[in-house]
Amino acid sequence: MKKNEEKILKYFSGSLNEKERTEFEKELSFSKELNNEFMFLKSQIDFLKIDNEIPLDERYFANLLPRMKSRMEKRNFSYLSKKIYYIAPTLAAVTVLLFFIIKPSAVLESQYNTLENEVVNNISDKEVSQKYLYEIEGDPASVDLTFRDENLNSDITEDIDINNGALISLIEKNYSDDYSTLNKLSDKELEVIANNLNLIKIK
Amino acid sequence: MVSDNDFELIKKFLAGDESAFNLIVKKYQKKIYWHARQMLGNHLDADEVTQEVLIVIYKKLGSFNFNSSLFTWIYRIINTRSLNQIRRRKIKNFFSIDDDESNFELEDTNDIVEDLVNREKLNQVSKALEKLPPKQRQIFIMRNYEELSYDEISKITGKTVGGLKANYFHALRKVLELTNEKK
Repeated sequence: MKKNEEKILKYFSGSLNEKERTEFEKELSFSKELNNEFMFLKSQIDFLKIDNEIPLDERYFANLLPRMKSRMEKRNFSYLSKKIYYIAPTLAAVTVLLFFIIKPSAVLESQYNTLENEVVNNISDKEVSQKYLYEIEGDPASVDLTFRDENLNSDITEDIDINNGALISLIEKNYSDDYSTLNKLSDKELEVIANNLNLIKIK
Repeated sequence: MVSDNDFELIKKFLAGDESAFNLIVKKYQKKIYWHARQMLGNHLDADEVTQEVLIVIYKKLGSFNFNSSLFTWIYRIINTRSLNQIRRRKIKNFFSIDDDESNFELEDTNDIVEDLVNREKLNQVSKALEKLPPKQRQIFIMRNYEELSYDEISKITGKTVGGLKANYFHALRKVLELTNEKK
């Protein structure tokens, strides 16, 4: 039975060229042996064929679309959930980072402002003092000049914490050893400090 | 290349009409299932691939370029997904401690082929097909069951007609050998 198998399968698979196919079909018509083998293999191949119309449980197909959509929704949800696992810590890290980047400069600026106010308040020349106060406040209407006269500050408040001896470098004088007592400084020295503080803020 | 009906349905779906997608699914779901079923040999894997294929169609229909028929495009998706599933199953089986028999029972109870005779025949053929290399199996199924022409198969698989004929010849010989061994 195996004798002509290759030739027959080549015929079934369409692997024979035009001439070979014509010869094969001719032989098939007069060779009983080839014909028997051909019919046998054909019946085997036909057995392998499965009718795509065989009855299937229709409930499966009725349910297929809702199942597919629910799977897709679940996948989208789990995709978002997975994203949150990455986004939440990243956001937290960025927030902390921003806090450290922004907060200290904001605190320092307010400390410099307070210090500048105190320095300016200690200038005895009222006109000069007033000029500096205008510069600090920006809006002349908001400057409370009576405050200057009545409550002359002589000390730097304790909550001002300028690191790395920043204030000392602002004074550049021997008084720097005793920088907490502003009333020991001359008007000129106080002006130098005020100007330097202003420059730091602009930077 | 795309039938008017498919073209209209795709256009409607892309314009936001969800019911057009439902009609596409209705039209092709059985073909998708059958091809996956014959490629994978059991209902569970076929169900998995069918759902995945529908999801891909839903998501990628916007990139369909209308150069081929919709079903040729869908066929490519089923083939890729089926081959992936075969690879996945091989890996799963490699690490699995379950024996083949218990797997078979699990598949059998979930089968949607209602008629026992057909189910028996399907299992018998599937067992022979499983022994073929996946790409030969693919061609055998398209040629033997779906009766596609070599030109159509070539469009789907991107292989030459000559190569496909040779592949089908080897697949046919091997399947016949395997089914004769069983008898």
